[in-house]
Parts: sequence; C-alpha cells; structure tokens
Amino acid sequence: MSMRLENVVSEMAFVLKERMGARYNRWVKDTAVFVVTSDGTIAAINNELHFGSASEMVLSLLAPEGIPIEQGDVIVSNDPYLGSSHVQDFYILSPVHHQAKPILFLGAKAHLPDVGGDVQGGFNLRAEEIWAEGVRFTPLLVCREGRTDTCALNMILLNSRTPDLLRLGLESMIAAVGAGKKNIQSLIEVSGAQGLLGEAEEVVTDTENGLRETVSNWPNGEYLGDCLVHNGNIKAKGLRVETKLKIKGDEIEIDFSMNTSQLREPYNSPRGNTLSFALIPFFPLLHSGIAINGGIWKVITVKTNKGTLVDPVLPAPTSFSPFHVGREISTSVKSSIEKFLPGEEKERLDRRVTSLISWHPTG
Amino acid sequence: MDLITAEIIREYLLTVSEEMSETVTRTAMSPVFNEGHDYSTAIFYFDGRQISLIARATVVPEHIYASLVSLEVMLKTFEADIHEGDIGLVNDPYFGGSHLPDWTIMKPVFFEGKPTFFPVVRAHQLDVGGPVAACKNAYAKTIWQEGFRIYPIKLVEQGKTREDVWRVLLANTRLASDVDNDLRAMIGACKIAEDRIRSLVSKYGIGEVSESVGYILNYSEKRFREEISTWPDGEYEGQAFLDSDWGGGHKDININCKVNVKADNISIDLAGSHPQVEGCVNSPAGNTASWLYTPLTAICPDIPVNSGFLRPVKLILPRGTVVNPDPPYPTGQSTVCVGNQICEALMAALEKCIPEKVATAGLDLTFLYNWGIDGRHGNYFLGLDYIASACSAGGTYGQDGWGGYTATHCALRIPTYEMTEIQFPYLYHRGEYVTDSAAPGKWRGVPAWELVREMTNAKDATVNIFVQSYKYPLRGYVGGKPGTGNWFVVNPSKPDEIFVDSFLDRSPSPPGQVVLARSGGGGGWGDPLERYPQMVLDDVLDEYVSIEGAEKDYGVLINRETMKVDEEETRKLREKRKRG
Repeated sequence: MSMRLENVVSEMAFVLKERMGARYNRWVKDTAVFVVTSDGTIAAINNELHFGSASEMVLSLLAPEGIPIEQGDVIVSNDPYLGSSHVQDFYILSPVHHQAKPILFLGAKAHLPDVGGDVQGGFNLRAEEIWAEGVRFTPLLVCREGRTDTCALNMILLNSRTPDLLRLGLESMIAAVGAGKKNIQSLIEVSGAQGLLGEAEEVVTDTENGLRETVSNWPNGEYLGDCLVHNGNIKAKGLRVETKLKIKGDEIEIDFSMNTSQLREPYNSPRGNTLSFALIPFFPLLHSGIAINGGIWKVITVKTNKGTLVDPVLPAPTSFSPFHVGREISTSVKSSIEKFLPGEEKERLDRRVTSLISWHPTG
Repeated sequence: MDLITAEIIREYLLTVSEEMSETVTRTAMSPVFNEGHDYSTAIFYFDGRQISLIARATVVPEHIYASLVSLEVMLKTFEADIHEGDIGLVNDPYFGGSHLPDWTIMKPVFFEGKPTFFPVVRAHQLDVGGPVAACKNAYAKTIWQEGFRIYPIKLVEQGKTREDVWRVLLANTRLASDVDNDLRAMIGACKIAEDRIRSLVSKYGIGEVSESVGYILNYSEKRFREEISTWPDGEYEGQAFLDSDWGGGHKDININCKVNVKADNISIDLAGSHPQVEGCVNSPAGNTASWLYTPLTAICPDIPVNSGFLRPVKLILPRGTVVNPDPPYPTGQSTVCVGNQICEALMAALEKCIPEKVATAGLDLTFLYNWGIDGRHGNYFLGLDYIASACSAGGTYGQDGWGGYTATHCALRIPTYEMTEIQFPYLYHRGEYVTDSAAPGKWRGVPAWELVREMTNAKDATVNIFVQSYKYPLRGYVGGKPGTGNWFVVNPSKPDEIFVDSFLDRSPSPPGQVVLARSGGGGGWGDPLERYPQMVLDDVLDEYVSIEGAEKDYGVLINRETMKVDEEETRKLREKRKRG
C-alpha cells in the first residue's frame, strides 16, 4: 500500500476540515477527498462512505463528452444524475500537470448547506422534481488557468440562501485540492512522475488482488436480499429494495435491476448514491490491508436499470437518498450477504453496517 | 454631420432592430417566441461613460427599458473584461432583471478598440427550474423558490461558447431543447445586428455615426421637453390597487404615484407605495422604470423612443417597497402585477394633468398554465395559454378599446387556436367577446373576453391559474367606467365546479376538464352619456352591447323593430340623467 498517497489525502482532509471550521463540524463525515489517475480510477480516498458516489462523479467529469479540464482549472458539479447523491453534495476536481500533461486529478466532496429550491437546506418532502430541491450545477469551471472565475462562482452563490457558508465550503474544497497538488508536486520531485503513477497503479492492483482473494473464499451462488423502506412520509407503500448478489469465483455482481420505477418523491437514489450504499456492507468484511480504491471495481460490478428507484433519470427528486433509500440499499445488500455468512459474522456485520449507514448528520 | 444623414442612420438602426426581431421569430423553437412574440430586440450605444437605448423594434416595451438596466449591470460586472466576440447573459431581478424567466442577451460591437454598440435581446423563457413549472409559484416567499438565478455571465467568450455555462442553463429548465434553440435564436439576432452595424459604420465612419447617435438622443429629448412644457405645471397624485399577492397573504396592495410637472421636467415619486410583500408581485427597479416609461412613450407616439426621451424624467422609487424590493423577495409575476398597477397609478395621476392623453395602458391578468405529459406522443408539455390572457385595451380620447394588447405588451401576439391545439392537448370550445361587458365611456373599453377550453389527451397534467383585477378591475378615465374584472371557472356547471378569483395552485387537470377564463377588458374614457348614439347602435349591431345595455349604460334608446336610434327620446333620457 502506498502510504504516500494515503498521506496526501490525509493532509487534504485536514486542510478541508480546518478551512471549513466550526460552522461545518456536523458535516465533517459528509466530506471526502481523493486522488484520481488520468483514466478516472480513484487511487486513494479518505472516506470510504463516499467512494461509490465519488467514482461515478469522477467518471462523469472526465468523460470524453464532458467539459475539458485544463491546467489550473477547477470544475464543480452537484448533479445527482452525474454522480452526486443530491444537489447539496458538491464535488470539485482539478488536474495535476506534469510536463504539460495531466497525470493525476485531485478531488473533494462536501455537503454544502443550500442551493436554492423550495426549502432551505434542500430537503423538500413535497418535491416531485429535482428543481424543487435546488439548482443543478452540471460541471462548471469555477477556476480557469489558476484564476477564480468570479462570474461562475457568483452564479453558484447567488442560488444559495447562505452564500457565505457556501463560499466557505467551496473555497475550503479548493484549498484542500491546492494543498494536495503541492504535495503531489513534491512527491514528483522526489520519485518522478512515473514513480508516483506506478505507485498509484500498484495500490489499485493490490486492492483488486486482496479483494479477489477474499471473495474467492466465499461460496459461489446467487443470494437474494431485500429491505422494506420504513418511513412514514413516503407515499408509495410497501416499497422494497431488492438485491440479487451473484458470487462467481473471485468476482461479484450486485444486481438491482429488478427494482421498482422511480418515484415522484425525493427518495430516489441516483446511481452514485446507490454505489456508495451498495458497497458499505462489504467494508467490514475486508481485512485492514485492503485500501478502498478503484481496484474494487475490477471485482465488483453493480447492475442498475435506468428509470428505477436505484438509478433514476431526470427529473426525479433525490434529496433524501442518503437516508432513504440509501440505507435500505445497504440493508438489502447486507441481507443478501448474510445468506452465506456464518452466524457470528452475521451479527458483527449487522452492527457494523447499522453504524456505517447512520453517518448522515441529519439522519 | 447633416440632419438627413442622422435621420437615415436612426431609421437604419430601427430597421436593424426589426430585422433582429424577425430573426428571432423565424428561428426560435418555442411557441412563446415564434407564436406569442414574448421577446424584444433593441440596439444600445455606449459612449464610454453611459449606456443609451437608441433603437428598438416594435417590441414589448416592458422588456426593453428594463434591458437598459440589465446592460448597465453587465457592463459594470464585466468591467474591462469585454472583448470582441463576447455574448453576455443575465436574468436575475436583483442584477437588472425583472423576473427570472426574462433572459437578456447582449453582444458588444467594437469600433476603434472600444465596445460601442450593443445589440440586445430580452426574451421570456417559459421555464427556469424552481419548484413550480413556468416560475409560477403562488407560495414563493423568496426568489429561490421561483427558479434559477443567473448572475451576469458570458455565454460566449471571444467567439468561443462557454459549453459548461450553456449546459448549466439547460440543466435548470424543464424545456431544455426549447431553451437550447431559443438561445441560439437570440444570439443569431445579435450577430445579424452586428453585421448590419458594421455595414453602417463602414459606409459613414464611426465619427459620423456617433455624432448622429448624439443627435438622435438630443432630438427625442428636445421633443419630449417641448411636450412636457405644454402640460400645466403642478403636482398630481394617483393611486391603484392590486387585489392580493396570492400566497403571500397580503391584500389591497397600493401603489401611490405623485407626478410633479415643472417647466420641461417631470418627476415621478412612488413614495407611500406598499412595503415589499412575501408574495411574488414585487417589482424590481428596472421593471418599475419600464412600467413608468411605457405610458409616457405611449402618450407621445410621434416622438422617437430612446434614452434621450427619458432624460427629462426623474424617478423616485423608495427601497423596500413593492416598486423597488430588496432581495430575496420574490418577483415572479411582477412583469404584470404590480407592473400594471404602477402604470395605472401613473395614468391616474396624469388624468388630472393631461386628461385627453390617458387610458388603460397596462395588462390585465388571467394566466392559465398547464403542464404534464401529452398523451398523443408521450412528451412533456408546458403551455402558457396566451389566448386566456387576452386583450385589455381601454378607451382613450377618440378611440374605443381595441382588440389587441395595450402599449406595455403591444408586440405580443395571440396565437391561433388551431396552432395551439396542434402543439398542446387542448380543445377550444369557444373564445368570444361578451355582450354588455365593455366598460362604458364616451369611448368604451374593449369587451370582456371569454374563453372555454377543454383538456384532452393528457396524462398527469396540472393546471395553474393566476387572477388579478377581480376586486379592482382596470379603471376608467375622465368619467369612463371600469372594466368588469377577471375570473375563472374550472368545470363550470359540474358538481366539482371551482370558481377562481385569485389563484389555483397546482391542481390536477385530467382529460375532460373544462376551464372558462374571463378577461374583463380595459376601462372606458369619458362620460358614457356623451357617446355618439350612432356608435352605441353600431355596438348593438355588433352584439357588443344589448338594446337594454344601450339604455342602461349609455342612455340610448333603440327601436327593436327598426333597429334605429330614437334620437328625441335618447336626448330626453340623457338630459334627465345628467340632471341627476
């Protein structure tokens, strides 16, 4: 495992927390910082709870049809249909260049307080469409060639009831990425770009190998899981999240394709959120030497159908997805895993997953 | 510079504005643009210190004066960072806009290294995100509950489109395809204007063109000052009321207007107007200015409209009121309400100064919106039914209220029933004037308009209705009577009938639902007893007025057999009524 990349994200996380300060204390768990290789693989992340969502967002931001990101640029998005869980969750990404080529990207994610919509804070129980929850920022360059694009930044801030707090959040994320860039540049000076990229590749491979070894010890088969959605505010009654977990050799498929159509209620889980919550039950089962990074996706695939509760399309509202149905996704996956786990491990898994899925501060 | 050349240049720039307008009509995609014509085009001039309107097409004046403020704000925001090939955009009411759907696009045209001309298009985008489609949130207490706020930003930089900005715009509308195309239409119009302006300057040179612009502005100023100096000096007061701010909970919202005429200057002071309200009727300063300038230009139809015209006018718009609110108060309906009442209050004040020049100049409000899935093809639809919010022209000296929009929205067009039925899942049962509903006057208002429409093949459809002027219909002038006011009935004469005199918020609109919209018409001008009896008879023959109505409202007696005016009996009846 590359401690050097781990250290980079640790320091980024420290800077983010320090810059966000006391006003963001209760949201600390709803942040993440990460290092991404130029092909969109997350090589290191400080908070595994957001790994799925971050992976999805990074792929969207770096997609060929996406907005080009040049040296000194910082791109922002909060779009749930690109990877975010809900419009309150902002992601930024910025490249690290070496010899005029982007070799790595550094990113940050944070839940920020308000981005317009009908209800302060964005949690709108009556929302039937995403625009009732707030403004969607598809990828927007807020820094270009190292300079803040004041108009673009102000356009985001203008759509918030708490522009000062939003500015603080965004600037803290940018500062965290800036700190990460300095450290990456230092590492390049020490071991060269190729050396660092080699390390990134190595940690991803280590994770893949470690996970394959773990999975290969699990019995092959198809395991069904489900979870009833418990919430009095949801109009759709008898709502369930269903899972079909397939283990074959050293690979896993988590199949959510049988799930119900998306709702005109704010409980739809965008694919990024679904990925995050689908992975949570696996983390307690991994030994501590397996780092959370893009190596996971070499082993685990997640199948969803567009237009469903777990992979909605425009204009489905999503603001409550980190609670419902995010938690039910984890519980459903957990129940499928329990089908092949021995009794004492089931209990341990249950405790750990219950704890992990309760991270959200307003939960 | 010679005056003939200056006049040629003035007319040329007007023609360019009209060509911009035609470009938008012929290239835009949404019916709001190409059918309703809810946009405006103009050309502005920048002398390095000040922005001036120099030419406008036959447009929605309520748009165009407010564009002046939008452009000023954009220039202030971009400062020195304005280049050839840039296109700027803003919609925010607190950055020069009026309400969020009105987007203003500008393009600088450079000469000798300086941004000198600015073609501008301001247009109503039907949807800008927010909790309620079409920015029609009756319960909005803040602007964030109305939709997406666009800070002044460049859509195009030195000829290169900001793809990231463009995509954000499209992500925040329910009508992304329409907006995508309509933005291109707006930009196209500005580019055509640039070409034409360059041709002009290449022919005459920037020096002569700039001098001509100076002349054009000075000429309008001189003409309007001459007009004002014919008005009696003095202080004149007027007042108008808005029924309510819908979901905000305020009623009887007053607009106070004090006009001071002194020599060749005029000041308009709206002090005493209602404090800003939680409902979506607050009018930002640019919008208020538009609604004050428009009546002034309307009463001087032979003076070229530009910033020179506006120089003798001083506006006093107290902060924190419905005529100049502070953020974050909502403004979604301000372009009609309280805009119309601002206009009415000014007309009421001017009635005491120049009675023969005043009339209804605002716009009544009967907004009917539907959205849902069109069952014919399964696509989302969002329709603003302009046909329901028909014309509210009042009588004025020498002229009855006409069957078209009043000055503030004079370029709007009422789409045809047939085209609207093709575009939306509606079936129109009827649309017609209502007998005995025209506001009586020596020159009467236009009759009330009644529309009956059925929802046909729609799924998950919703209806939103907004009404004003039920309690306070459009006023009459100089003894003319007021209009008859506005209202709706949903499912008339059915067990689930709903009478709407204020608003209906996001109500289901299933197939078979029938909506009756009644738009009450503008006020009359002058004493109805002075209306020429022959004109009353003409109205009877046209079924605008019944024989009973002729007697009751005008004191005109018509023989049912001969269908002629009984002149002697009419004279006697009128004399008797005048005596009291």
